[in-house]
Amino acid sequence: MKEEVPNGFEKSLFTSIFLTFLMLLLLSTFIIALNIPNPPMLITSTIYTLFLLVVTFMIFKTGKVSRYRSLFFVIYAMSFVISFISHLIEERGGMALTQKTIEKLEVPLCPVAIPQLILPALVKQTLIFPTKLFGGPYGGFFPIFFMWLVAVITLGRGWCSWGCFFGGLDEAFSKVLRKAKIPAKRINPKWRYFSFAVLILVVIWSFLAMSPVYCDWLCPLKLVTEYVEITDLTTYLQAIIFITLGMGLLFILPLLSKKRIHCATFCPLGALQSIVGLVNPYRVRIDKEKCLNCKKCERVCPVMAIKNGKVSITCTRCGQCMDECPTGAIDYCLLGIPFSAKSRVLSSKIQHKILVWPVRFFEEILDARTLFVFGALLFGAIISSSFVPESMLRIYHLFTKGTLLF
Amino acid sequence: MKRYCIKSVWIVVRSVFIFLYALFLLWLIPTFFFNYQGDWMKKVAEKIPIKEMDVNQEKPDINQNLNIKY
Repeated sequence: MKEEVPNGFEKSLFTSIFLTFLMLLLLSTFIIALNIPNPPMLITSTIYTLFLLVVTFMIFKTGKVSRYRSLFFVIYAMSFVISFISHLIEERGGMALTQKTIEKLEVPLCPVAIPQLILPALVKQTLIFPTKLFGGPYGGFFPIFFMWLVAVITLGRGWCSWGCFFGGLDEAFSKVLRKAKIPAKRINPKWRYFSFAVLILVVIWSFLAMSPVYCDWLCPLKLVTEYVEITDLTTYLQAIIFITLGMGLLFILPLLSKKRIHCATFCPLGALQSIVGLVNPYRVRIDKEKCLNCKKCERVCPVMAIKNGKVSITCTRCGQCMDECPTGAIDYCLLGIPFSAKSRVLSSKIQHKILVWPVRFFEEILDARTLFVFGALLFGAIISSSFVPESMLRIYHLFTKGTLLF
Repeated sequence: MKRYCIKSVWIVVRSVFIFLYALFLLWLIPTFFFNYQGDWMKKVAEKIPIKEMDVNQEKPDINQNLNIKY
């Protein structure tokens, strides 16, 4: 059994309990209180809230972010897929998108489609996605668009590891094998820039065609959501493409390489988040003084965002490198604050014993790590507050009544 | 002494900024989701000039053909 080495990011017991309690206050308002009228959902939402509280406490008490985040994120993505597909089957009888649904503008807007909508919306004031501005099954364009804006402010590219509905899928497959069949050294980290090429291609192509071409032709996520009904050669070709890309990028390559291949190399929303996410004040930095240059962070980074001791803008702030770093040289930082300034300045300066405890408490609370992780977890928890308890109920249905459908 | 004072002021300014940002996020995330699809969102959306997709744009106008015929 591998011995746990403390990385220096562990919070005190009091701070961990305080943050867990704060999370309980917020989640009881959003997850539990909203489900009081529905007793079965109240039970599953209470179980989910307890799970989130355990995740919150463990992240802060142990200082290991990625381990517990990963558990939350995989459950989050799996639950979304179960809930979404079940809804589609209940409403339409299957995952296929009929012409009738498109004409009625009732296609749920996927956040991954946002990059291709921006240019036509700005230049021609037209939404090129068959969804309503407001209303419809998942709220329409504006609610999803505003949710994305809040994600940019709160998480930046951290969206890809804390808030995305699908990121947990390739993350789950990247965790299956103990050792990668395709070693990290055989994967050129420059592949991470391919997603920017996809982004540019998609933005230009969709603007010229005035249609959501990424959704039509490239999106591998159609494998786990919805796809246009196969009626002719074009839709047949599209199906072949999304099945091939989906199997390769979401399942097979993450399984063999232990990297999140779809998120790292293909997703145009991920590339867009890297650019617009620069407005978010959180960053991941490496302390040169503590760094041993062992390259462990480069090997374990699931999105290949670290090269030669530098963290690129494609970092999804998952915390994997921080968990693995033997000297605790990598941490979340705030923009404009150098790594050296975030060390325990106050604690070392103020020697008075009475002042040590409150100063340490505030220092831990106002730490960039605490603020980012707490905000990100809260964001993910609230977004998932409807579909995770619902999918838990569906799984219960599966065992008792033999079907996921209500 | 001067260096220590500058450092202390910097720490206070930094802490205030971080505290305000933390409060902003703690306000923003729950408020946004609590009022998800609320009136505020519709009011803001009304000011954004964007129209829904016209899915029938390329289809021929059948009624027009009928009118010509009869």
